[in-house]
Amino acid sequence: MIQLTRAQKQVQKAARDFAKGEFDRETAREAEKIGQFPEEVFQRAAALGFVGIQLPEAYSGGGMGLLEAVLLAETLCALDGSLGQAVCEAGHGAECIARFGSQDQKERFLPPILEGRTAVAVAFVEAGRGISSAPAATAAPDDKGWLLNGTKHFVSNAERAGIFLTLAATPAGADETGAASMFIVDAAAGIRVTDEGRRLGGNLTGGAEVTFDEVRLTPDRLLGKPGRGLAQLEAYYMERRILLAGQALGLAQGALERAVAYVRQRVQFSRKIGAFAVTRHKIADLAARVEAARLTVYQAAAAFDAGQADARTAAIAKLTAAEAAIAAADEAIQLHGGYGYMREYDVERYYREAKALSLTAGAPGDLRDVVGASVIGKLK
Amino acid sequence: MNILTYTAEHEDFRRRLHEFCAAEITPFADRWEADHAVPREAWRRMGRAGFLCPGVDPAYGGLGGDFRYALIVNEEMARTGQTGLTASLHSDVVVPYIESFGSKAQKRKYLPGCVNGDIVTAVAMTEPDAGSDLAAMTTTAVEDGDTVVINGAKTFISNGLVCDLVVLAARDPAVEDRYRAISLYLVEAGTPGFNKGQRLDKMGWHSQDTAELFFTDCRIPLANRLGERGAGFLMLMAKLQQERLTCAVGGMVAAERILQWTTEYCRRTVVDGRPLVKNQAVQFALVEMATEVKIGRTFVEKLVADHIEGGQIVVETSMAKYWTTDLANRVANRCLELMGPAGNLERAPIVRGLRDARIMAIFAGTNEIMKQIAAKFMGL
Repeated sequence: MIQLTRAQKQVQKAARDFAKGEFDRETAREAEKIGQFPEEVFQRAAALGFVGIQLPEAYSGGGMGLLEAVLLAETLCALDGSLGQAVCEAGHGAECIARFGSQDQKERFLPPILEGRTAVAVAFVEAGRGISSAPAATAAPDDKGWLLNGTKHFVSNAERAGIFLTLAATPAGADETGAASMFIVDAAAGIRVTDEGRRLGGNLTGGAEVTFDEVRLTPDRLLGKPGRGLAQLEAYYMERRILLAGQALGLAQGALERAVAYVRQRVQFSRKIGAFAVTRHKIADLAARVEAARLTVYQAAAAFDAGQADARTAAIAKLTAAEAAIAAADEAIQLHGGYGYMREYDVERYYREAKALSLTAGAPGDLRDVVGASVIGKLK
Repeated sequence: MNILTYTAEHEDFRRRLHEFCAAEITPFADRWEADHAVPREAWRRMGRAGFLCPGVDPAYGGLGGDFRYALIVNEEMARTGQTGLTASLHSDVVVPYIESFGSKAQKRKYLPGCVNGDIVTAVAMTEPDAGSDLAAMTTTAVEDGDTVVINGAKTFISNGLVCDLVVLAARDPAVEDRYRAISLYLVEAGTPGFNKGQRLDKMGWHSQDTAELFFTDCRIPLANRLGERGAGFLMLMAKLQQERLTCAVGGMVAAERILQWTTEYCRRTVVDGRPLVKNQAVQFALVEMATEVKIGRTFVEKLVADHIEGGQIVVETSMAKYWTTDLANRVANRCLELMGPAGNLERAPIVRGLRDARIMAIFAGTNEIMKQIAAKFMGL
C-alpha cells in the first residue's frame, strides 16, 4: 500500500478546496452543453500552480511527481468530471516539451503554458493510422529547416492553441526506414483547424481536425531527436496514460459518491433504496473496482516517479481505471432511475466523459495490444 | 424455420413504411434532434399514411393487425436515427388502454384521431416520488357528481408536450387500499387546470419531448374515466405485458442497428493498411455480439408469437425487457470501443445510439423492477 506523504495529502486538500470553491454544477453543465472551455476556472487553477505540477519548477511547473499530478486529477474529476478534466487537460502537451525539449525550448515555451498564458494542442493522431503508427504527415528538410504537410485528428484544445505539437515522417538515416520526428508548430498561417463537432464527452476542450499545409518550420522547432519521434511517442503515452488514469479514477470516484448519496436519500417501497440487498451489492462491486483501480493507478504513478514505469504498467492503469469509471457511471445512472437520464443529475455526464476518456490515447483494444505483447513477450 | 411468418399484407405494409420513413422521417432526423422536437405535422403524415395504431379495429380506422405490425414498425423506425416520433409508445402502449378498456363512446371519440395522427397520446403514471414504486403515487382524482377533480404532478412523461390526450393514473384519497384507490382517466390537453411543464433535458432521445405534467383542480367529465373505478392498477398490470414486450423489441432492434452499423464501419475502415474486420480481436467481438443479438431475436420473436396467441408471458416479457435493453447498452458500449477515438464523435450514428439506448434499461419499469416481477411470478 502506498502511504501518501504530508505533501501529497496537501495536494489533495488544495485540489478539494479549490474545486469546492470554484466548481459550480450549473456552470459545468452549461459549459459542457455548449462546448465552452472554462477559462476563468482554469485561470484560477493556473494561478494556484495546478498546471503541470509534475513538471520542473524552473519552468513554472510544480516540481512534484506524477503521483501528485494523479492525486490532483483524481480529486478535481471526482468533484466535477467535466471541469476537472478541462483543468487537467488544458496543459496537455507541456510534458512533451519538458521531457524532450532543449533547454532553450523549455525556457521559451513552458512558462507561458504552465502559467496559463497560452495553450498547447497535441496533434499526433491521424485517420487510418494506429495511434502508435508511423505518421503519413511529412516534414521535408530543406536549407531553411522543414516543410510540414499533413492532417491530424481528434485534436483537443485546438481552438485555443498558441502552439501545436505534431509528429511527421522525416527522412531516415542510412540504416532505418519510416523514421518520424516531433515538432513544435506555431499557430499561424498554413494551419487549418476544423471543428469535428459535438462529441460524446470531452466537449470543454473540444476536438478538431488540424491540417498543416506547407508550414515552414525553422530548425529550432524540432522537438527531441531527429528520427526518434516514435520512441518519444511511446514515452509520451506512458506518462499520458497514467495521467488519464488519474482522471478516470476521479470520474469513477465521483460517480460512486453520487450513487451513494442518492441511494441514501431516495425512498421507494417505503424504504431507502440503499437498504435493498441488490443496491448494496451493486455499490459493493463498484467500491471494489474503484479501490482496485486506485491502487493500480497510484502504483503506476509511483513507479513512473521512481523511473521504473513501463508501457505495460501505464496501459494497465488506464484500462483498469477507465473501465471502473464507465462501470461506476453506468450504475450511478441506473440507481438514479429516470433522474439518472436527466442532465440535471450529472451522472449521465460522468458516463459520457468516462466513455470518451476510455477512447483517448489508447482505446481498450490498443491497451490490450500493449499489455498482451508485453506480458507474453517476444516469441521465437 | 422462421418463428414468425409474415403475410403478403405484412410485407406490403413493411415496404410502404420503409419508403415512408426514407422520405418523411430519416432526412429530418438530425434536424428534429437539434430542435428537440418533432413537428406535429410529422405525426399527422404518419397517421394519414396508415402507420399509426395498426392494431386498432377497422371500425375505428385501424388495420386490425396483430402484434407483428408492431415489430415491423419498431424495426423500420430504428433505421431512421431518431426517437422523437415514438410511434410504438403511442400505438402499442398508450392507445391499447383506450381500445381495451374504453367505452364505445370513448373509442368513437378518440380512436379515429389516434389512428390518423390528429391525436397524439401519452401515459402518465410516474411521479417524482413514485417511480419504481408506482402504487406510491399521490396524484388525486376525486369524483364529484358527473365531474372528476384532479390534483398532482407527474414526471418523465414521454410525449408530455406534444400530446393531445393523456391516460392518467390517479388515486382516490378516500380509499385506503393503495392499489384499489387507483383509477385511469382520459385528460385532454387544454383542459383548464392541466398544465404542461418544461421540456426535460436528457442524455438522449433528444427529438422526443419528456416533460412534467401538472394538475391543479383540473375538472374532467366523469365520462372520461377509463374502465371501472378503482380498477386502474389492474388495468396497468394487464397492459404491462405488451408494454414490456414493446420495450424488449425496441432494445433488440437498437442492438441490431448499432451492431450492423459498426460491422459496416469495421469493414470499410482501414487502419495501417488493413481493414478493422481483419483484426482477430475485432472479429471475435463482432461475432460475440452477433451471437447475443441472434439469441435475443430468437427469444423476442418467440414471445411475440406467444403474445399474439394470447399467452400469459409475464415472467418471460420481464426477462426479455431487461435482457434486451441491457444487450443494447452492452453492444453500444463495445461497438464504440472498436471505433477508437472516432467513436467519440457525434457524427458517428452509434454515439446517438449509445445515448438513446441508456434509458431503455430504465423506462417502463427499471430492469431491477423487471427482475423483481419475474421473481414474484416465479414464486421466489
